[in-house]
Amino acid sequence: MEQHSRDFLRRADEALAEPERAANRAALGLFMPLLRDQAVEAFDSQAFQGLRDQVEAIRRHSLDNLGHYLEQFIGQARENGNQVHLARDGDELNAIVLDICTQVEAQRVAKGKSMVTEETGLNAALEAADIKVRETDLGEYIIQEAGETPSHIVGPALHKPEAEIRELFLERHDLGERDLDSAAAMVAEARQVLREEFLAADVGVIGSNALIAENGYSMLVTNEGNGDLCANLPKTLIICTSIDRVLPRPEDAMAMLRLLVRSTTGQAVTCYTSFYSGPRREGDIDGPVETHFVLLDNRRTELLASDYREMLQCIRCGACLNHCPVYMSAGGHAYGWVYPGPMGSVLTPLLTSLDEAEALPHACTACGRCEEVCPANIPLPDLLRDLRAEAFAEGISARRWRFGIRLHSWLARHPTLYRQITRIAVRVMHRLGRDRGFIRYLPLAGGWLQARELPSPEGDSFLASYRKEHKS
Amino acid sequence: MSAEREVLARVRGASRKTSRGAIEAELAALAPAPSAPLPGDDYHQALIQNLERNGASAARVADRKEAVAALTEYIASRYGQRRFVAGHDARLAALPWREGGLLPRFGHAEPGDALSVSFAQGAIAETGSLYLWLDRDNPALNNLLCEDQVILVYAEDVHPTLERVWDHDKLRNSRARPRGLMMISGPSSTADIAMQLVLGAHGPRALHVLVLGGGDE
Ligand code: SF4
Repeated sequence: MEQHSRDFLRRADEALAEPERAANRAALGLFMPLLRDQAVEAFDSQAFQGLRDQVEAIRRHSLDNLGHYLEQFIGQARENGNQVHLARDGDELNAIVLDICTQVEAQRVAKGKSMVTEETGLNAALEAADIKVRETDLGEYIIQEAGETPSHIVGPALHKPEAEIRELFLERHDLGERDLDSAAAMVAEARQVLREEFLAADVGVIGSNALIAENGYSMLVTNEGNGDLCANLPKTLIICTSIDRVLPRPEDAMAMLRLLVRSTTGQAVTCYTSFYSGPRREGDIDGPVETHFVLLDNRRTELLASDYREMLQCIRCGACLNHCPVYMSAGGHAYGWVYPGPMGSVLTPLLTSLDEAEALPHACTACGRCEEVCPANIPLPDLLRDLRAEAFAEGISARRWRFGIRLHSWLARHPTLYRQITRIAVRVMHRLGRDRGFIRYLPLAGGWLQARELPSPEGDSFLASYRKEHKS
Repeated sequence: MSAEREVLARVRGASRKTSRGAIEAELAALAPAPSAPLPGDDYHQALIQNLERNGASAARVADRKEAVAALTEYIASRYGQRRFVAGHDARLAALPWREGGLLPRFGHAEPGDALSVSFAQGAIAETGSLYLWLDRDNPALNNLLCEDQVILVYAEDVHPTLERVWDHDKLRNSRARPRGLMMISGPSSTADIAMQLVLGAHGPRALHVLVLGGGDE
């Protein structure tokens, strides 16, 4: 997928200027946390914390011993009758999938939601070879028809207001006069259109929420059932996922499922949770006759060997997006690549380059909500801070910015001077806001003050007032 | 070097260097995960309550005869006909369909089939889920293609927690394990259009469950 992370600020400005989409995001930011909280309470918040800790321990253990578990999974998957391929990078994954499609003379591919194939840009690679690709998750289908990219890792089209989707369907589906005056009518229409696509597809491509090393099954968690149609109707099934998805035992997948669904949608379980082990067995009357796993590295082994290993614990639940004030304001497209929000701000620089994505670790108010809700207990604010420090140390951050930080660091190490300067600054600011109680203009802070007012200080610094109090 | 050898070498390089025995011991020492609380001591009641929460409907029937009667009533209330599709599962074949005047077609669902009837391997009270193996007797298409699905489950196959799905020797044996295992917990749904919940996204719009027999665990 093409990357535009350098344009974060411009794209965020554009998002802020679209009131209907901003309202959609506001609703998302209001309801999703409520649904999650209800689910956590129904589970019992203390027990939920226990579940988080337990799943975190399993994820850590799996990653610490990934060599062992990945080999075990590959062995089991092959015994189950699958062909297993490893891909060093996105291009290699695309080439493997294209090769399989060519061998089975596929003309049409039906796809379930898969962020890994978004990462590799699989659709474009297949379409360049004249293979028709149809996204079948309703959200993915909507954005595919609109020529857009996902704005959320769980609900890829949640940025689109209902009216936009209605217009899109009326324009794209040649189904004559109709009203489409409700979400239900639009869903029914998409069901009708996509059913034909499932039936006509030669190959199904899906992702995976977990790979179970002990028995070679792959877990797929959905509400729509589209992934299951992709997995069961076409003659060939390709499961594309990344090497870090492996869990040791089936019970570990069940523990993760409890955590994932509650953190994602606030449900206790999704409508469909399926486990696929391989092609149809002797005597089976349906199911694919050929099944493949394509397991992507794409710098994950680098991450595994780095100080950012904890990021591989991510179970892609989307909770950090739903709780992030920056994501809610800037929208998912501002991040300029596949993964938005706090998890994307950590992953994007690591999976692409810090140079390209330097703006993202700064897209953080350090409020800490993401860490509070992350089911995988990932210290997202710490990882973002480490990335900022790295960008600074490597000279990637803007020169002006680095100069400011250096100046601040020097000042902070000279407390007497620091106090004198802040005292003067506080007095000046007090004067500036004397009449109104807030400041509208301040040199070097024009951008910040564009949308806010800065309350003016009381007239002295905290330390000076504290000293005064204690003397008296 | 092939991609597989190269990636595996890198993974091994970044993994901890310990023996298989030590890895297994560490895994065995991890505490089991807590499960969700049940809304009461009765698994069957909890299953039904959770299914209803998930947007499905469910009822208990005493025996096969009652199951057919309940099915006949359900089908008659929704459709003006008595046809449906069912897998080759011996438990389905053994039901006295004729008593209800029902007309099953045994095989896999085809586009246009309105209703399918399946028999679950078991059910999980914790989440309100039925689990079905995908094998010669239970085609996956019967869970996905119809507008409406009815799933039967024996009361003695209702278990409290999710882990029990895997409690079967066949699943541990690579020669015997089914190609798939599906957990169904409600009708197909989506909230992808402006976060509004709509049933029947791609799969069945309705799910009805019959818990057969009364054996308490
Ligand atoms: S970082 Fe945590 S909260 Fe964010 S998607 Fe990953 S698991 Fe979920």
